[in-house]
Amino acid sequence: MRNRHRRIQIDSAVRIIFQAVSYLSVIALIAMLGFVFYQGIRPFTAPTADQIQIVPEHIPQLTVNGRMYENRRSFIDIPMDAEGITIEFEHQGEHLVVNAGIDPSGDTWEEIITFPPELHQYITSPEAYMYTIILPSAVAGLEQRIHIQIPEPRQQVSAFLLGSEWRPVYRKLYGILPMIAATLLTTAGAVLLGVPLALLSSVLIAEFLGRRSASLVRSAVDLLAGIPSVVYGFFGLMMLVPLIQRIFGSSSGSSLLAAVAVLSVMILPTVISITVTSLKAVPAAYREASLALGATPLQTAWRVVFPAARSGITASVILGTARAVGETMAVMLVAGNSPQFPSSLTDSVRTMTATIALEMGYSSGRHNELLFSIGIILFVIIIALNAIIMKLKTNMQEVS
Amino acid sequence: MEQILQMTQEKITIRDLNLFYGDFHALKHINMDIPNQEITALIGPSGCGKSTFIRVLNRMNDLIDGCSTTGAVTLDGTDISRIDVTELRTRVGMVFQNPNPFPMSIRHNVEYGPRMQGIRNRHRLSEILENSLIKAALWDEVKDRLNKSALSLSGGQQQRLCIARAIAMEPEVILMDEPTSALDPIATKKIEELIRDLKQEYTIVIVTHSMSQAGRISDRTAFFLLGEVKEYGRTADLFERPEHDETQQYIQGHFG
Ligand SMILES: Nc1ncnc2c1ncn2[C@@H]1O[C@H](COP(=O)(O)OP(=O)(O)OP(=O)(O)O)[C@@H](O)[C@H]1O
Ligand SMILES: [Mg+2]
Repeated sequence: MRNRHRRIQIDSAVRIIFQAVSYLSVIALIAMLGFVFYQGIRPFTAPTADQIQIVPEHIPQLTVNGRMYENRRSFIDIPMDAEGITIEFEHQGEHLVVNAGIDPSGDTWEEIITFPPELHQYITSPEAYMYTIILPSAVAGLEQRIHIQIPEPRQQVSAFLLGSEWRPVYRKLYGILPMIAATLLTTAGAVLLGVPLALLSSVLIAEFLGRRSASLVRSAVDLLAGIPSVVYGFFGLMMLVPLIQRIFGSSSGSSLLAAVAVLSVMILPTVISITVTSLKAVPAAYREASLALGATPLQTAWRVVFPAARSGITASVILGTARAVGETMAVMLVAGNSPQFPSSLTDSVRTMTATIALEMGYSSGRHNELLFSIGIILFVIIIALNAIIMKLKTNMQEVS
Repeated sequence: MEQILQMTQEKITIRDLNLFYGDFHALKHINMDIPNQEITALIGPSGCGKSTFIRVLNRMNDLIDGCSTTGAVTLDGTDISRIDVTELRTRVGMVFQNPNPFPMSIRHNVEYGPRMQGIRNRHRLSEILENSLIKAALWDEVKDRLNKSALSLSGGQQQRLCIARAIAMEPEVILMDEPTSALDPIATKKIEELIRDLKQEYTIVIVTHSMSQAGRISDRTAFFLLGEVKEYGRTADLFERPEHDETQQYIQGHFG
C-alpha cells in the first residue's frame, strides 16, 4: 500500500518535470521575445533621459541654477522641467553668466535648448546632442569648456526605418534603410542563385542517382549543413574575396557579391534536404503512372513529381530564405560592412544581423536599444516567413 | 496458310521467359501467346507472379534494382527489348490496382501522355480528351468539370479516368493489374462493361482475383502457380474442364 503511494508520488513528480522540460522552449521563446521587445521598443516611446547634463572643464568653481559646485568632474543633472539654465563662473577675472532656455517638448536639439545670440560664436556646432561652449584662454590647452548633454527625443519610427544614414556614435543618426536593403539584397541574391541549384540537385538525388551515390551526396549535404558558419565566412574571406577583387579590380573584394555567393552555398543544405524529403514522399504510384504512359524519367520528375511536392518545396525555399536573413557571421566576414546603399555588386554592404553583431559590444544607451529594435524587425520578417509555411501546411492537409 | 493466320493474330508472344529478383526466381519458363483483340485474364494465388508477369510486358520491371530476365517477349513480332522503352509504353498502356490519377485537373490527367509525346495543338488535345473520356464511359459524368482536380472523383471514376488516360495514348495493348479490387460492386460492374467494350479496339491483359470476373469478361485465362503458368487456354475450357487438379482446386476456391 505504502509502496503504491510512493510510486504515484514519483510518477507525478516525473510528469511535472516532463511538462516543465517540454515547455522550456516556449518559455525560452517568450523570454527572448519579451527582452528584445522591451529593449527595442523603448527608443520609440520616451526620450533617452529626463535631465540635461552639464560637465565643466578647467572651471574650478561654478554655480548652476543657484547651486555652487567646486572642482566638479562629473555630470551635473538639470531636470527637463527647470525654467532654464543659468551658469555663473569666473572667466579671465570676469564674472560670466550663461543663460539657456529649455523646451522639453522640442523634437530636435535646436528646439530643446536655446542660447542667447551673443554666445553662438563660442558654441561648437551641436552634434550628437552635445553642445560645447569653449571660452578662449591665454594659454593654449587651458580653454574653459562647458559640455552640455541634452537628452535625445523620442526616436521617430519613420526616421528609423526609412533613414538612410546610420551614424550612431557621432551624429546620433539611426537610419537602418541601408541595412534593410543589404539584408533584402543578399537574401534575394542567395535565393536566386542557390534555390535553382538546390532544386536541381534535389531532383537529381531523389529521382536519378542510384541508392549509393544518392546517400553519398545526401550525407555530403548534411555535413555542409553542419559546418559552422564562421568557417563559411573564413573560406569566403580567403578564397572568394581576393578572387572578386582580382576579377573586378575593385579596391576590396569584400562586397555584396561575396555575401551573396557565400549565402547561396549556405542555404543549399536547408533547401536540398527538405526538398529531397518531400520529393521522396511523392507516392511511387505517380511515377509509375507517368512512366507507364511513355513519359521519360526527366518528364516524370519535372511534370509529375515536382508539382506533387510543390508545397514541401515552397516550404524549403522559405526556410532557406529565413536562413539567409538570419545568417550573421559568414556575411559579416565577407560583406565589408559599410552601412551604405550599394550601387553595384562589388560595393561593400552591411546587413541588419551584422550591425547587431558588430555594435552590440560597445554600444550604449539609445544606440544599444536600437540594436534590439533591429532585432524586432528581424523577428517580424522571420515570423512572416513562418506564417507562410504554416499556411502552406494547412493547405497541404486540406488537399490530401 | 492457317499457321500464318494464327501468327498474325498473336499480339504478344512469350518464349521461355524467366525473371529473377536478385536470386529469387519469380517467373519460370513461361510460354504464352496472347491473341490480338481478345481479353486474357491472369489468375492465381497471391505471390505467384501475376503482377511481375504483366509488368514484364511494358518493361516496368526495368525500374527495379536487381531484376533480370531471360527469354524473349515479342510485340507484333519485334522483341520488346529492342523497342525504345518509352515507345513500348505508348503502345502498351497500363492501369494499376489502385486508381492513381495525378494530382492535377481531369483534363491534364488525360492530356498528360499526349503532351509528353509532344502534342501541343489545343484542338487536337481536346479531341483526344473527349474521345478518351467517351471511350472510358466517363465523359457524361465529368464533362462539366474538366478543370476540377482528379482527386475529387470517386474511386470508380478515378479508375475510369486512369483507363481514359491510358486510352489517350492510343495504345495497342492495355495491361490491367486488378483494376477493380479497390472498387465497390457497382463501380466494378461499370469497369467490366467498359473492358468488354474496349475489346473491339485493344488487346487486353487483366490480372484478377475474382474467378467470376475472369469468367465474365475474358476470352482466355492463364492460371499461374508459383511463378509458372500451370494452365492456359480458352476461358470456358479452363473453367469447365481444367487439366490440372491445382487449377480445379483454385477455381473452386480451395487455396489462394
Ligand atoms: N520488387 C521485388 N523484389 C523482390 N521480390 C519481389 C518484388 N516484387 C515481387 N516480388 C516477389 O515476387 C513474387 C511474385 O510477386 P507478384 O507481385 O508478381 O505476385 P502477384 O501474383 O501479383 O501477387 P498478388 O496477387 O498478391 O498481387 C512474390 O513472391 C513477391 O514476393
Ligand atoms: Mg499483384
